[in-house]
Amino acid sequence: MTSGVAVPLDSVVKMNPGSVACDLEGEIVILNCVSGVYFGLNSVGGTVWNYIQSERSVEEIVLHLLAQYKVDRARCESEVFTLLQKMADQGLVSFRTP
Amino acid sequence: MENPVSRADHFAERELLRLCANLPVGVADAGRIRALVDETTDWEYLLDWATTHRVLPALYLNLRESCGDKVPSAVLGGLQRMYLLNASHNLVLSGELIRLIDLLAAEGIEAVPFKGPLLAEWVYGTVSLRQFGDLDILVGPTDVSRARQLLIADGYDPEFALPGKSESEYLRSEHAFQLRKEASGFIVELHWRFGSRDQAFPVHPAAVWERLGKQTFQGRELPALSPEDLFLYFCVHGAKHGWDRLEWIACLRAMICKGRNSMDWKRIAQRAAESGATRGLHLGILMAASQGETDVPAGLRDSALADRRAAILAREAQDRLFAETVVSHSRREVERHAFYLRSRERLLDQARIVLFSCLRIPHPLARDWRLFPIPASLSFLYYLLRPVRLLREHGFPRLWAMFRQRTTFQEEKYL
Repeated sequence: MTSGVAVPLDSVVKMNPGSVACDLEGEIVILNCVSGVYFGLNSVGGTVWNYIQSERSVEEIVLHLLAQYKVDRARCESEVFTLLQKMADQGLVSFRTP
Repeated sequence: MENPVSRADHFAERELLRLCANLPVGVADAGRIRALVDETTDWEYLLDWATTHRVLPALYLNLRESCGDKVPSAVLGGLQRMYLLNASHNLVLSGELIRLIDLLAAEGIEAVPFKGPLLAEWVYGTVSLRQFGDLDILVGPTDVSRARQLLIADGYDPEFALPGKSESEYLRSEHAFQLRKEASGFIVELHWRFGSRDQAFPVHPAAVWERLGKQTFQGRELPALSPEDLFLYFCVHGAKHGWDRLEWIACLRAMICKGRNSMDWKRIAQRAAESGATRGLHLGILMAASQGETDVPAGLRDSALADRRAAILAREAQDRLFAETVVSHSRREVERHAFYLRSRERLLDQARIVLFSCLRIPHPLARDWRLFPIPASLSFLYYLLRPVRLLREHGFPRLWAMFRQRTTFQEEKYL
């Protein structure tokens, strides 16, 4: 299990402008148009990406995944934190406090 | 066992490509695709035509899903590479489209993207499943010159210079500027209407502008043509090009499937009737039906089926989809124009098309502007230069043949 960096659960995740995405053989590929870097997401990551097309809190994202996948909450939170942090590092999303 | 269908005319490959152009395909069609693929499949023929008809992404996905084990790995691998390249290209174009819409908006110009990535996302849910090479953007007629200058300042090269009065002349007769960014290969078509004067295009931008909707694209709300306007536009656009691309036909069918319950079909039929595009609408419906079930509302389907002239045009277009005969670009253009003329039901529209087409013979086209950059004060010379260019490029006998073909068509029409 990957250990994620804690992001407050009530933080709101916001997509940054300048990224575009498409479905590619069941996975989501995102292009950061500013950096020119492509970012691939598996189906769970793709579920998160599609869900955050509108602003969502981290808590909402976790609950959304728990409703769709058989996974315990602690692991789900950890994976979500890791994914969101990677996305933030790539400039795809940013966080704001509510 | 050898496939029972004839190999000589590539019937199996054509049927395979027709089925594989659809996204998604049903269970029965997936079975049919699998049955059509065997050791005698002419992959080179199939890939050549898939490239021509711009259905490589759909072909790849459908072959992989339906019969990946029967397709040679080199073929499937090659298709996958093209699919990935196309997806990458479309992503880059999508980013550029959003950037341009923002660039124009920052200067107070409302720009409406249509076709291209937006159509792919609306119809197929992702931009990766269509092949498109340029970005089509509609702006208001009073904004078009400024929008063009903004794109030039942004690094786009215009197809040709339009000094002084030439621009107003061009704006009056044509419908779009083409601009290209050499470094990235981006091509933008900046439209102020949907067709040139000699097409008497029945979808009018002023009316479309009043009915604009919104489409969520890549997390953004962008202005978009209403689905009804887009559908009618796409039908007439297909007729304008002689419905010679399988991707357009499959896409129209997918639009019907997508919008079956949400589009106002009565309104589409009413707008078509008001603007003299009923035959074009019927033709589009018949072309889409040639790709498989469409589930168009019964009334509209019945009127399309009863439209004998639309049926003749649909048959002609289908017969030409895999035509091997090589014809010159000019001749193809004349054939397309004649096809388009026949897709219009009102004599007045046909008369306008013929009249402005005749005027256009000496009238300067984009190519003349590019080949003969002359001062604005001498722009009248274009009217003399165009016949010179046509004669130089095609020679008198070929031009005479084109004229003869048009005359023959007119005779046939009134038989």
